[in-house]
Amino acid sequence: MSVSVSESSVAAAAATPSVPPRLAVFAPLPTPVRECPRRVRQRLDLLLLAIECLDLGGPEAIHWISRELGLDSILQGRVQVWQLRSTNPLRRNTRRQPMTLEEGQALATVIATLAQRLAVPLRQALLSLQRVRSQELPVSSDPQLAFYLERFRRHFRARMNPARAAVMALREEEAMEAIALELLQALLFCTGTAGPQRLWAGLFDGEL
Amino acid sequence: MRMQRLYQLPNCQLVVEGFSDVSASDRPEALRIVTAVECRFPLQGQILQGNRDWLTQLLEVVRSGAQRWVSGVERPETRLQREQVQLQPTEAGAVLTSRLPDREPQVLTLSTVELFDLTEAVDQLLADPMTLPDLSLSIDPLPRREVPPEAPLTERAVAPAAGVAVLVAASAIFYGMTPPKVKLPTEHQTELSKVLPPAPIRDPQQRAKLAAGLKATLSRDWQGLPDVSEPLRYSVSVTAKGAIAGVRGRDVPAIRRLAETPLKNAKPAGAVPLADFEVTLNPDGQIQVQP
Repeated sequence: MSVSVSESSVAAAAATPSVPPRLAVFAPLPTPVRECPRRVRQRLDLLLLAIECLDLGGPEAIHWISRELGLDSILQGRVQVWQLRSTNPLRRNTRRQPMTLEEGQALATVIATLAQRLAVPLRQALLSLQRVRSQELPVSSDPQLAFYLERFRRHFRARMNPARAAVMALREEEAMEAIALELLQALLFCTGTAGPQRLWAGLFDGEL
Repeated sequence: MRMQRLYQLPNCQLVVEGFSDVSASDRPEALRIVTAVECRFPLQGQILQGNRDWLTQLLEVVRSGAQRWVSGVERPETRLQREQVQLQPTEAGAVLTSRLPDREPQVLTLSTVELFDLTEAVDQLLADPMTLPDLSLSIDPLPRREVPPEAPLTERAVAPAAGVAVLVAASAIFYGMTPPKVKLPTEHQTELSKVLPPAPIRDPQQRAKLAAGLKATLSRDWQGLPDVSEPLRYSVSVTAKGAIAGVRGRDVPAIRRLAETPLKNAKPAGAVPLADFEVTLNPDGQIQVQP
């Protein structure tokens, strides 16, 4: 036991000088872990996917926002971001490489920042959702939601492995729609005063 | 000094009234003594009111609910239900219930956006060093042991129980069955032996004899070729009687010059056992046969 404690403290000490200031907002996890579990990697990729589907400039924004936030020492360019996203076990070409906590925090910071910039369309989309539901209309009757759902469906089917049980469960249109809308709600709660911290803690819900 | 703090979002306003504590050594001007709290939802035209305890419970419940929305992981009721404030998640938001002593309970159905504005008001209050600076709520992951099971134990037990039942039924059915008698094929075996190539000659003594015979046969007709300076290499198959049954050149020169070598007289022998050798015809008339 003492060995693992000393190892992790050594690793923490070694990592401290290079931690970008943006990541200082994250409190240490109550139980130390070495890398991001699979659910964390999956959720981060799906939240980024939802951002890309909500905003046409999303894929570009992911790159320049990580530079603007001073996270480019961790997210070094498109290839690295793509490699990290490919650690999502649901992907067709999933990579079996680990995602460090810092890399996970950097992606969470990018997601929270982009969600904050998209706060107005996010609120509009969720208000529209409330309206169509209260009128008992199909969700796709709202043009903005229809656009988002169509893009989400297309990107999800193109990128995720249909042989995975979790992907197979989304073959039904309704299940796919439910996860797409759930991610929209999640993105709204990533914004605001405590958004990044809430996202980071929520990623580990039930994991520790 | 009497004071009021307002956290204003489009769909939710949180107002905290109270006094500072001048005896506090740190930040004596901060609001520390709460006399009244109001939470207004303009879209609903509703106002919830409470005291310090009510506010604390509201903050805890809202923080926990907000994390549920960001993670998609359900919370146990203990995280969302307090004595005076309860939050019940729904598909389109949540139902917020306020139960104050000697008052009628107030029940509000909040949309996701209203719930988010309430969350943001709560976050701003908790981040405000001038309001209740001693009150803090950390944001931590929900421990694994608190994640409610997706289905009750009785439902989760159905699948394994059904599996065991099917296994028992299948065992009972197949127990009484006699194993089928297997008729060994006889006629087809003889047919096959005509089609498949026979086993190669492996007996070392026989192979050595065949190799020597092959070398002697080839030596009679091989003195080298005038314009060939490199050895020509072939794979040669020989029947048990020593006849050359097949030749394959190992490289392009060997294939080209085959017609000029003693190996050109190879005749296919049909389905008989063969021995394969590596034959090298050297330019100086020497021959090597490797078993």
